[in-house]
Amino acid sequence: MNSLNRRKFIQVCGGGLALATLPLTFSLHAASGARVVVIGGGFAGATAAKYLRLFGPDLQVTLVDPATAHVSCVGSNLVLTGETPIGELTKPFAALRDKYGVELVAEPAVSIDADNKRVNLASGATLDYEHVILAPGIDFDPVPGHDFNVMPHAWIAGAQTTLLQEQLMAMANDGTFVIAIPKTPFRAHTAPYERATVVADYFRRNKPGAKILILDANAAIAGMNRTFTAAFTGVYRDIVEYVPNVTVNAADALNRRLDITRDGTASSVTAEVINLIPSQKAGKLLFDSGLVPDGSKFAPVNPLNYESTLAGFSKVHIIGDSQSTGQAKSGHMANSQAKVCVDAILRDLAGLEPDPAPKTTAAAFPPITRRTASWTTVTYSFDAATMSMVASSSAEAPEPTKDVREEEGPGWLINLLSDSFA
Amino acid sequence: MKHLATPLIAFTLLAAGSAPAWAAEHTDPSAEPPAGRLLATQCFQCHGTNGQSQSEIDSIDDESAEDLLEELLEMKASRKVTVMNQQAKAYSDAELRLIADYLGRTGGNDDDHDDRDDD
Repeated sequence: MNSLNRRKFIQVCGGGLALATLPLTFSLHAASGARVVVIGGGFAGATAAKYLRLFGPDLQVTLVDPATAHVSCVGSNLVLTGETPIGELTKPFAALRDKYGVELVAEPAVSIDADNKRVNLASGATLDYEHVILAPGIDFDPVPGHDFNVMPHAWIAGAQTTLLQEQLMAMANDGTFVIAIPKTPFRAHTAPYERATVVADYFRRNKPGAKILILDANAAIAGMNRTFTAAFTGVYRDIVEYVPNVTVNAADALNRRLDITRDGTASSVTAEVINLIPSQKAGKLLFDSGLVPDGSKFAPVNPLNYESTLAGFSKVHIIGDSQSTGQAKSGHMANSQAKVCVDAILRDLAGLEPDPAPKTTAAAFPPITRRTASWTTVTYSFDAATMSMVASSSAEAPEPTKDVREEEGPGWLINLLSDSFA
Repeated sequence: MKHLATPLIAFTLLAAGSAPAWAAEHTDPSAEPPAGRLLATQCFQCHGTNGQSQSEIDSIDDESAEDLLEELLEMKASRKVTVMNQQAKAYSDAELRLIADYLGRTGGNDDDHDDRDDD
């Protein structure tokens, strides 16, 4: 374990010399306080691990994730068009270890034993905890026949993103690109439509004649409706066709075909490149640990501390896309929830109740063209009457602008990534 | 905050050379988190950890609490549709004051602890 190595290192080297080489004050004393285990190193888990150590320097914080880095979904639509190298969105967990003293355990967690406050790891090893934070992100409910290697979802960034990029680059100049969108709630409600605008811009400049067909399971555009309606019926009216109320029933990888139902009528669609985004649910770990009730897809939590509301799961917290508070599911929001959860855990360890009036936020700055981008933001406030987070203030940009494309949007992404992972 | 620093904390900061302000803030595990901190952390997604921006977005760690509060209240009252104007509208004046006080207290002077922690 890293912590043992570090402690031993300090013992061997003695005081002053070792101290002078360590960057932060909390490295001066080996963590001796409560252990908090964080499972999953996406925006939610990484932010939680970082802020636990920032604000609770005595805590032993362990991040469990089989990967060595997180690839951000936020910003990944621009990987599809070649504008952003995927390396810019790849954030190694080593930064959390080296800068903040987070212990890294690089293997999967398989279940939570809440009675014994213990995490079971894939190797058979276990981790005891005072509090555990589960942030496994999303899992999928694919339709029959959906082969992710043929019809990438590209909704968890990484190899899926580059696969879809390769398919788009190789597409014929007069080809059709289908984006199939599941029913809400899903991760990042603005992102499928943003994907359409950035790829439409790429087609306009590189593949004149290529078309985008959006098949939306929802009755209307689910995120930034005004912005994307304007784009699809305005600047991209010759490229994008938007069709609501389309259910995808099955996929045929061999023939690149989707069997669909539209307004009660069955038909099929074939296309050269198909981005089939599956219906989404909480990560498998939560189902395997009994944290998702029968018939539900996400885990119920108390939004004051993100502790499971199910009996028998005291000190088990769930943040990010896997929980069911109804707030936006996004990297920005996952970061936001992590801070509320961390604050509540610190208060609990100090014998205090959670902050009774937390706020959370989400924002997005979707590029609309090569030269313009839009924005949206929402703030949620706690409503004591319903014990829920309610969107208390939200807005959408009056129109896409150059400044947002060149400054606010990229600047937001840099700081969001840095605040979460570095 | 500098005036509240105990000798132990001052020593710790000196030993570490360039420790940021937050590191000294919650070393007592039984202490209540500082007022306004949780609300202020919600600024950091866009403005950087501890308000120190890594990008072209403004840092918010280098202004006094009074200046910050004045700006936040102007944004809250503004009818122009911008991200910050909208964010500010979600908070009560008291909450905005907590945020401004926290950022004004922890920020601004962080670059040179060694010179300032001995008062």
